[in-house]
Amino acid sequence: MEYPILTEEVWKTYGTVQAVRGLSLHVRPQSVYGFLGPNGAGKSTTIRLVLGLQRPDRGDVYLFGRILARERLTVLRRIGALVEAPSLYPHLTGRENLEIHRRLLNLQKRDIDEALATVDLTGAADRMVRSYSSGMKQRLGIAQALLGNPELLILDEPTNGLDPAGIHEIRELVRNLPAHRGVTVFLSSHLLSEIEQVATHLAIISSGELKFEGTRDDLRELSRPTIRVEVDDTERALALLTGLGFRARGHDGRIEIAPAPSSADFPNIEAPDINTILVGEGIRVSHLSLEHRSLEELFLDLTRSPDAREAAV
Amino acid sequence: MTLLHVLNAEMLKLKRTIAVLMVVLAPALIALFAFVMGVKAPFSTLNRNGVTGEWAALTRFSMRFWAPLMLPLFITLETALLAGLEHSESQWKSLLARPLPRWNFYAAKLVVALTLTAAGTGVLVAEILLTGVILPHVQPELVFALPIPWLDITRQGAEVLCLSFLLISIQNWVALRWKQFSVAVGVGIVGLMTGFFTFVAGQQSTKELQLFPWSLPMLVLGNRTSLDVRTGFEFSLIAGMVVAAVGCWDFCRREVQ
Repeated sequence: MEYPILTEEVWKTYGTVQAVRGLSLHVRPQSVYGFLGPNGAGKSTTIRLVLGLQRPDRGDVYLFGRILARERLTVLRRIGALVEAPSLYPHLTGRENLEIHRRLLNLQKRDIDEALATVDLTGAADRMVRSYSSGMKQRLGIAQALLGNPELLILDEPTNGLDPAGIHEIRELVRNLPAHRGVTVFLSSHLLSEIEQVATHLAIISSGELKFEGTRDDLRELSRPTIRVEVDDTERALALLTGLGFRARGHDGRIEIAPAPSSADFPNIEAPDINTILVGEGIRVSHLSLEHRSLEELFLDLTRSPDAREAAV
Repeated sequence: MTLLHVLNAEMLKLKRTIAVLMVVLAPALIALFAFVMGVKAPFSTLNRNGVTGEWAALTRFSMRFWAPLMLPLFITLETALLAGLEHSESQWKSLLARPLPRWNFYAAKLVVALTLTAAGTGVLVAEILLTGVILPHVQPELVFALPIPWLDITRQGAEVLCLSFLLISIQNWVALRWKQFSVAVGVGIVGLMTGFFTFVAGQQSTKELQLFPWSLPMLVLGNRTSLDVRTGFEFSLIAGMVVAAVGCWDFCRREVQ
């Protein structure tokens, strides 16, 4: 498969700060790939590395199967990007802003009308950008990125600073792009709720490290309840459960059994079965409960805990 | 070829900017000053320093304010404004993510700065000619002989433009390299003041001091104690190309924050 974006063990350091640490991403064609992480997690740095605005210290970035460092101009022809806030000239109209990029890319005049129509800005195209609302500027930034019909659209926090109505507009726009234009969308955000509603695939990054990569269903899988058990002999119970193939971890005198991945070869079992197994081996169970985690809690767990990656991937 | 696309885009960015207005305003200030002085004190102001003839005197008077003062200021502000268009709204990340060689953007800024300076100088030449045509009607004591020496006036304009190439190249690099408007303006102001004193010192002692970038345009005012314009022009061209090459290399290797 030719991945629109593939990064291999990419590292980037600023002084003593490691902004990106061994990041390997796999963005599939025509997916909406949500790139999620708290502020300062390394999302914008990653996007800059992917666009060739910065160079990785180590590792390679491949775009459409080509090494970015060697074929930057060739691959950038297939990409449109909105990095952080839209870069617009406030003294020009919306149409003139697009005209600048049309001239740079040597496109047809009609491409501007098409891009304006896609973001529903045709009516305001001849107004000065300085009079635009934040949402309109954001949409114009997306229109700018859409010029030239890119196969890959990179949007860095496109809903930043928008009101709920603006967020809804952008969300609908992004959701429809793969179907209407055959575009792969790489969408970064620090808001799980925003990404969750549009992304088909997700990556979660924290402190420059990848904590999760998979489909939306894979993430939901991770948020299935864990079983918490308290017993009189934790060590023996842990050895027994792990020996039977359960993803069990013990801490503070308790055992937590993670849900079995549906695709993997793990026994899928309910809480009463755990009780039966333990009691059957003469281990006294004093507490047995299901611990539910929302996607948000899972996201927070993944982005906070140092060993979360091990648990998640 | 792609450079033409970038230049084409650069021209549109100038729309409704003060950068274009300055092309007319800066020389107009000089022309207005020359006109007022010509009306109020025709001979004490224009006919000095052994220059004979009203046309030569008017041209020299205008160049005396343009070359050492207004031109360096003009170049400083124009280059800072051109670079500021990209710095102010973080345009670089959007522009440099386009499939175009980075050097195109640097070269385009330099070409536009040169074009604006040429246009400003052209306007000055036109305004000198216009002033010479109008002035006798307001101040009959002044007699501007015919035919109008437009070729000689244009030559001086072209000379001052060529002599300023190094200065444009330096200011273009500084303005693109540092995001803060104050850095470019600060360098320009310090250069302007230093250039003036260096030129005077060069006339009195070592002529080579006049090769200081901000002094070079003043060679157009030269006398027998000055370096000849051709030497200055060659130096300006070669050093300007070197600065442009180094600046372009620096621009291309820098990471976009």
